[in-house]
Amino acid sequence: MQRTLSARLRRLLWVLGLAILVGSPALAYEPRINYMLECQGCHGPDGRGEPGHVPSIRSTLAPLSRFDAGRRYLLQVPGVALSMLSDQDLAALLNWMIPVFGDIRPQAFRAFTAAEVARYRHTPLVEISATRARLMRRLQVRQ
Amino acid sequence: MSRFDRWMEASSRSVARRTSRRGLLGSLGALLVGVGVLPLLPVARGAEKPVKGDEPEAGHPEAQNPTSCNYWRHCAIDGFLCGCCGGSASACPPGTVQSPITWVGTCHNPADGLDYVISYNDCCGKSSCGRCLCNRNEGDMPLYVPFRSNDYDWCTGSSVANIPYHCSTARVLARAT
Repeated sequence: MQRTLSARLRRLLWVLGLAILVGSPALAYEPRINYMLECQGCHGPDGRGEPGHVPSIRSTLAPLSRFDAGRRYLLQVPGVALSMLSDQDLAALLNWMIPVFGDIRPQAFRAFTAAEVARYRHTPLVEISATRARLMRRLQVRQ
Repeated sequence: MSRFDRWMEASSRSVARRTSRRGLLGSLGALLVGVGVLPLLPVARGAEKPVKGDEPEAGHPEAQNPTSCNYWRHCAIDGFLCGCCGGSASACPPGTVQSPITWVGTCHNPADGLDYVISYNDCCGKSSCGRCLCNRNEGDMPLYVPFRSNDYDWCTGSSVANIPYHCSTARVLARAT
């Protein structure tokens, strides 16, 4: 009798645990919504930006994610580094943006982790335009 | 017929041997307690989402009036309402251009109890409208947090709309999920 009671209790706990897992509210917005809130105001709904004012991220995001200096720049550029998102949410946002705007398969790039975001975003980028110009030249050489 | 009787008797006896009379009461009791306990857990309460068609929240009496500053979509606006200037809450008045660069935030709609992503696109190209100034600023941050400040004039910094500010729209982009 004791055994069946504890077995029943265990089963009840499992069911309750599952119900809690399934029913938990999301803690933050999904990456698509975070893109709208943190990036879309300037880069636009399709990432094309505004010629002469806001750079397009469509052709640069995926190539920059393929080498270390490019990845560091993506994490240090002010719009990313100073956003209100946590390291975890920022990593998820970049991992969503790169295949969507770069038009590549999700497996075709090395995903960002929260640890990598934390390592670089807190080091400010001093010469933003010069760093960007240098990286763009490097991208042209690579292509 | 007698074969059916025998089968019925055998199955009834086998059920009686395998179960206790109080077993059903016990299971039903556990189910009742379980169903009653689940909504009491804090996590279950947090997961509750208002269902469309529920009683509307109290909200402001003008929360559904698009030309009112208290319209629900205007929760973070800072400017003249385009609805009072010949346009609407989501369209620029004739003769103005919508700035593609914009401020984006979220607002809570008391009618369905859900949060939505709102884009505050400025309309540019005519001098200030001057009607229905609305400055609610929910979630607005000082200028030194540039990505969360709505004090910028979005009619500058864009090639098609680098001209005077006229009024502001509040377009729904998506449900904030």
